[in-house]
Amino acid sequence: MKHYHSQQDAFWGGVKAIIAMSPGIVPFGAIIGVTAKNMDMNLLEILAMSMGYYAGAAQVASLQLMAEGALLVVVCMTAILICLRFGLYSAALAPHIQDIPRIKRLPLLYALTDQSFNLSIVNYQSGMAPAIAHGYFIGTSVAVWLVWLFAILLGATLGAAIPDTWSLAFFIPLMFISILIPMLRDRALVVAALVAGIVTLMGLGLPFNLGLVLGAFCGIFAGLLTEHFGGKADV
Amino acid sequence: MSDSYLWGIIVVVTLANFFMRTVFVEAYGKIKYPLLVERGLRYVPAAVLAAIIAPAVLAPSGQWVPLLDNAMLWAAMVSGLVAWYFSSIFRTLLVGILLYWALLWLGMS
Repeated sequence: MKHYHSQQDAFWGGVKAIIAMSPGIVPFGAIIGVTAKNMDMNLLEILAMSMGYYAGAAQVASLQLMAEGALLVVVCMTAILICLRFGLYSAALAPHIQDIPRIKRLPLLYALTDQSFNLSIVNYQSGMAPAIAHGYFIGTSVAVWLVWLFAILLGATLGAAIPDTWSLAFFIPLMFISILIPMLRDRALVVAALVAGIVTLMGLGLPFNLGLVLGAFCGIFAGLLTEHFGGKADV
Repeated sequence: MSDSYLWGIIVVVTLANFFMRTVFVEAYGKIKYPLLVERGLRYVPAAVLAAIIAPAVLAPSGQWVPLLDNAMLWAAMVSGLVAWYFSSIFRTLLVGILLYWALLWLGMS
């Protein structure tokens, strides 16, 4: 964990972490922009969807289902299930950000992403001074928001000019590997990650992307079990 | 694709996502969570991230790639080691993507 001298310092630390991740975020957003453009959505619709959802995986799934002409209920259900993890994130953050006034807290939570949450929660859980940890969290959130919408606009305007032979899709799991691995500080956390991964893979065929939800819950439970049987020692 | 269909979806998912992102923070202190739930939250980041990574690497687009031939898997394992030793996002991405391209060039899929 890095040490920051002030809230401002931590803010820029958060921004820097996201800039390092932008090779993962930009192609993902750009692909969504291209896909939406090819479905004849106009710029207003693309922006409204991207800012409203503010969740890449759910948006990809929705675009795919909409292109297939799926029922409105099915499209919404799938998107919501993919985004259930935000509920978990919000629950994990809850004790740490109560001192932020609601008028700032709500926009900050609207902008909650995999990147900003998973980078920032480590600071809170390891006892960094709240003001400093907030600075970092706000920095990552603002940076993801700007990079993400820039990427969507880039895709929507450049269109299919982005070559897919670059296999940029791999940047997405890589980005999450770079956050996950340093997080695995004890045996219970390792077990949680392993079980979550394995169960998600076993649930690949499930509808509505339920595999992810099931995998996450099994992983959390496995972590608790390991902790109960004394696995919270260092790896 | 009709306007009401598209905007209906946008509005419903936007509201649902905002609700899920805010609900537990705003309800904090007003409802008492069972101890098990509170302790389980520690495992949320690791479990969710692993649940995103595993299928993306082993079965991209829902199709299993044979393990020995899976360039993403090998590149992911090496970049995992880099992440472990350096805790650096930039180095992890750099090593991962370069190795991945090299393996693709060598004929893996």
